[in-house]
Amino acid sequence: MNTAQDYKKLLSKELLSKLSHHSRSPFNGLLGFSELLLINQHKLDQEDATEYILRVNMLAKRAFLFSENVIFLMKILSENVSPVLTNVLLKGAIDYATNICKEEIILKKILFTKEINSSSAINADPLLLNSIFANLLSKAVKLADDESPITITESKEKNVSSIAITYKGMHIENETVLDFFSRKNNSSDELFAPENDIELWITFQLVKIQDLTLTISTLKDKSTRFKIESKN
Amino acid sequence: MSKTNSIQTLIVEDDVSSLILLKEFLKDFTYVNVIGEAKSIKEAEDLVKKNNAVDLLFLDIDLHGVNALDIVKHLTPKTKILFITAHPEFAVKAFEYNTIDYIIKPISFDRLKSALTRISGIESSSEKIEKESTGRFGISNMILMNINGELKFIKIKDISHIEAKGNYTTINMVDNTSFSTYGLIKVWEDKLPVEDFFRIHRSTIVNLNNIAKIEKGTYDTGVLYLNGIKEPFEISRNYFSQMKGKFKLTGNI
Repeated sequence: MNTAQDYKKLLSKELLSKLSHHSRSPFNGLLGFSELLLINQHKLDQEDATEYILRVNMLAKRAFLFSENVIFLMKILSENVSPVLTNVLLKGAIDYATNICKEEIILKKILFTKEINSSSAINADPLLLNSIFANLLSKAVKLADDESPITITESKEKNVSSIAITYKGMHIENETVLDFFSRKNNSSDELFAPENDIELWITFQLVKIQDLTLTISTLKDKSTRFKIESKN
Repeated sequence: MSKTNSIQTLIVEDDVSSLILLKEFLKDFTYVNVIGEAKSIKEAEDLVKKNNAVDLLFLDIDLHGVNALDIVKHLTPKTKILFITAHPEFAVKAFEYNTIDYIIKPISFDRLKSALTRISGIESSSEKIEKESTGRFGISNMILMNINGELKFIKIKDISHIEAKGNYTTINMVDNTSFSTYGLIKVWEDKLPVEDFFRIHRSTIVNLNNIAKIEKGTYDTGVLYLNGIKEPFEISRNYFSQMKGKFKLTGNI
């Protein structure tokens, strides 16, 4: 049975503080924009009203993704994730992620392209794969410059399938994160605690338990690429 | 108030949604002139150094995980600071500066309004319109209303009664149609012709021409029936007394 000490170790003050910030942010926006729409409904022109409704939708999806992540975080910390591996169509997971990020892509005028073969599949847990791509695409959209391109591409070399999400904008600043993800035989999770970046930490854990790999790299043209690889 | 007398304002906020929201709310305060905005600590430092004698700074303390309180030191004592943040823990520290208020997110219009009224001379445009307008409508006047996004003329004489619902007001017409509008019932009380409309309760104004009958209620209150409406309306003790005084009602009812 877990003791208070165990929970204290798992849920550090910094992690709780980050969770608190991440959970409040979308709800603060949701409450603000819904009030704005309510009190200014007769004053707003169609264009503004559409933008604010898109923001409400975007914030609701951020809140949804965050709540999903909290559940995964609890499951991972309590070692309670059991992936059910099956042949999963990539298109389904990418479409799920795109739907989560759709409004933000529109609002930031991102030039979004997907080049995924409708029959491409990898061995993974469908729910966990959805979450992985939703987190990675959400991160890319959040960090991408306005009106910049984001592309999702797939490739296959020998028996390795790769899916890459590439964006132009802010890099993942924390060098520890890059260091951590680039290590092939990472022996210590101490290097990268969840509070450094909750979404990436969860994504990495979900990748690891499905025997997938995730790399984050900066390309020659200064864009950033998240790459998921699966050995078939 | 001219633009030169307006409150020159900067906004430092890293969250795009919060920034847009704040600017949209501020549109109602015509005297607040936003002259610059920053989304990161670097941008904020540059902006504040360049405009260090600005009148007002809206400041979010946490900018992508970096504490932004330090940028305050670049300001002249003239600048007032209005913190808008998700972090209540900095409140005590914040009031060591020239702080006029400390708003914890989510931002609400009323909370913002109350914070801004702490700077003398700032009024929301809707308040200003109310104050500048001293004349009342006549019973035969028409008024232009925005009803569900459409501008329509309504006749004052066709209003049956008006009900307050929080910050909203429901206008009920004699043909049993109704619509809601943002604003306090007091605005209507100040604009409607006093010969024809009377406030009977803190939440109700009635068209006197539409009254079917009035009965005596309990504890000096009244019970008022309007034409075509089965449910009676309460006349509160205070307003009932005013009604009797104004219309010289004598004897028992």
